[in-house]
Amino acid sequence: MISRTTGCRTTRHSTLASRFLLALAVLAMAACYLPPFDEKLSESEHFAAGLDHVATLHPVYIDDWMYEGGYFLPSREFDAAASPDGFWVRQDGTDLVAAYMTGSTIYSNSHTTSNMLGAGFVAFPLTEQEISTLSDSTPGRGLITVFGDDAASGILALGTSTSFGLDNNPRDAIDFSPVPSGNIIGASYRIEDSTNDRVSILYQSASSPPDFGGGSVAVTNSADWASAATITSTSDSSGGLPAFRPGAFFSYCSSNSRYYVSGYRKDNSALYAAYWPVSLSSTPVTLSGIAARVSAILSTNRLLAIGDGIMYVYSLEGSLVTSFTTGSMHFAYEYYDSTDGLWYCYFTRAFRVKDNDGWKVYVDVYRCRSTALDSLGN
Amino acid sequence: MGYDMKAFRFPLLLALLFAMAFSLGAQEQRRVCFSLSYPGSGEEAWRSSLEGALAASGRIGLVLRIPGGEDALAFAALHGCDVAVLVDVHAGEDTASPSVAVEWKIEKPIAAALAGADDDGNLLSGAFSAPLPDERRRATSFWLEIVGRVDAALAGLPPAGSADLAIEGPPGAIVSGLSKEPIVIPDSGSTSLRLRAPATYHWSASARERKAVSGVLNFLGPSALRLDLPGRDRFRLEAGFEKAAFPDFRFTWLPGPDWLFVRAGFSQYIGGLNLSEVSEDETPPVFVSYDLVVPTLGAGVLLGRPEGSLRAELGAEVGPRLMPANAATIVDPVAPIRVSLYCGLEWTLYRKSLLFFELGADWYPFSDGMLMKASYGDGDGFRWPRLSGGDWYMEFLSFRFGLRWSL
Repeated sequence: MISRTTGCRTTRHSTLASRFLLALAVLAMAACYLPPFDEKLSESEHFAAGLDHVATLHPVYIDDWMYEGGYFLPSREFDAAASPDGFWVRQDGTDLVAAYMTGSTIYSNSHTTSNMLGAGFVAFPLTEQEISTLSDSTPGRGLITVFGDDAASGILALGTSTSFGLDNNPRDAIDFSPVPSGNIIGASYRIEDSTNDRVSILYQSASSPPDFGGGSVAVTNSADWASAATITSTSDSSGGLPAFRPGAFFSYCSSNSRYYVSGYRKDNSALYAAYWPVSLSSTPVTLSGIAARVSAILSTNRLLAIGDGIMYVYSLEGSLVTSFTTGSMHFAYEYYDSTDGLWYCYFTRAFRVKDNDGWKVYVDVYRCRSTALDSLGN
Repeated sequence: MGYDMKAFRFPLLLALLFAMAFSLGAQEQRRVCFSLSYPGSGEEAWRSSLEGALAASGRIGLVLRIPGGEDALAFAALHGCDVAVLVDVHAGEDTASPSVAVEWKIEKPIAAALAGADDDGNLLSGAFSAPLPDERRRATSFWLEIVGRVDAALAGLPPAGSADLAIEGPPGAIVSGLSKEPIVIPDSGSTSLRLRAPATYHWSASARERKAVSGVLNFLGPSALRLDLPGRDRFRLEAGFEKAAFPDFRFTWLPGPDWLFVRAGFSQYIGGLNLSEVSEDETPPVFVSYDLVVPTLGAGVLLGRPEGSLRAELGAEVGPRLMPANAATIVDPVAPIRVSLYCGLEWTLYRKSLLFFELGADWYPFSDGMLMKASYGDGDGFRWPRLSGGDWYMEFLSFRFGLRWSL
């Protein structure tokens, strides 16, 4: 009696179970779930806990094509309390797109040019005084970037026009004497001290092994660049270093008079650090143990190397001091704050959320004292 | 010396009936149904006479007619008759004088309908011929032979209204629903009980550390009930599939009552499936990976009968969102905690295997609502409903399904 009843139940349950499993299979096929989690964003938030929040620019409606791969570069006169501003710069291959941003506005008059250094050197903000001739509107904002890749080209300066868009009238900012042979394959720009910026340029000849030429020059940041500054270039034909791909980091370090280079060989293998001890005519020395491409030399005599979502701090001799996971946080530049006489590293992070009007971009600006960077590590 | 048996038949049967009537005493009276077929006119008179003869028996309390066209045994079973009497009257073969031939059968209708197929339920059968009776004889003595046989058949049945049920089960098991007071299985593991029969009983049984079981007993006569009480679920292991994308697992403990559970486990997003639609210019990867795991701890209740094959559940669980691949295995600063609220169903597929489906919502307290919205991704496809505030975020229609195994 009971077994007969159980038999009926089993049959009915099998049918229902089959239908249930079929429904689950359909549900599975329809599902397209990604968890509310962005690893880079979370890592940046973790890193931000050790930084000082300076300002937030929002909401900024940035077109999708412009947003992807771009980042925010604060202006040199960045005023968090009054009108925080800067540039949205986007590097895609050899295309460089830059647009001026202030508050929640991005100006559509962006400037598109060719930057053969790719992500190796994109742009650096200039002071209002440095580009006062090029941009006489208020506020006078400007960028310096690298145009082209050959000797006939040079350092390019862009300034804002009266419409706040970037003026499509670049000026020649840096000259060389003598003009090195080959193409520009490395560059850097940094704030060197309270009164000077420093630009460094590296040329590479087409010969094998290549000849390297170029050098560095300090330019005052409180005066108009009425005329181009001149780099007295030296050269290295020793063959001690292999040929680099365009986009290398190259910078002069005034504290030890070395010229550092970091990048990728022609075969895409990394040569993350080497230096010429005195000038490019001295024999280069290769540093080992550096895990990522160097992107800056800090006032604290540290090499800052930036990998994918992680930053490393090395001594000038290549010893690892610390590293930290930064996620989507972008290192902007090191800045000398004349109000307190201290150096700060500026970081920016952008994220976006979708609303009915499109993608709203939020930009956060952070900073920390350069001397505190060593203790921010993992 | 010859005897005319026909001459003795009536007095003998009369004596038999009297004897039986005296022996009945205070016995319960039985219920009998009958059918009668007669080819000629006057069928109703034949039927009435048999009805009256049966009703006159002291052992028979109620006589029911089986309507024409009805299945006699089914009718008898349906109306709780102890026996069914099937009578067929037709013309006799004696051409010298009018006669009738009577064929009769006495059957156990309930047994015939519900017992094994090899038991056709036939108790007695026979036939006799007699001169065509007049109305008076038909009302007095014509049916005495059949009535006597019916009385004899009824006397051979188990005592009316009761039979013994043997119960076998684990010592200490408590059986309810069979008697006014619950029955406790003794240490010997078996007991017996006299129950009214035929009857239907809804019974349930429970024992310590065992699952409660219930059932329906169609009690027709002496039989045995074996209690198969499986061990109660104390621990369960389950493999789930969150949002049909990410495998996870849970370990469940049922600490005491059948309705309370505590469970722990983790959700992981290190390996999963991305079944989102393929756009025209981009094919997303089928396998996705995120540096995120969520160890969980929760509790809930199971609703419905423990022995039921389908039970509902309500629960909640909480867990930190960890990023294990990070150098320091940090807690996600954007949303450090996930609280899941859910309801669900579990379905016993086979004894220790259950299918489950849970539907609910994920709440992220102490989170950055804006960053959580930004963390949701850039896809333009289907987006799960969600709400957010300054320091919280909530995602609806979280679901998971999978299999559970009782350990």
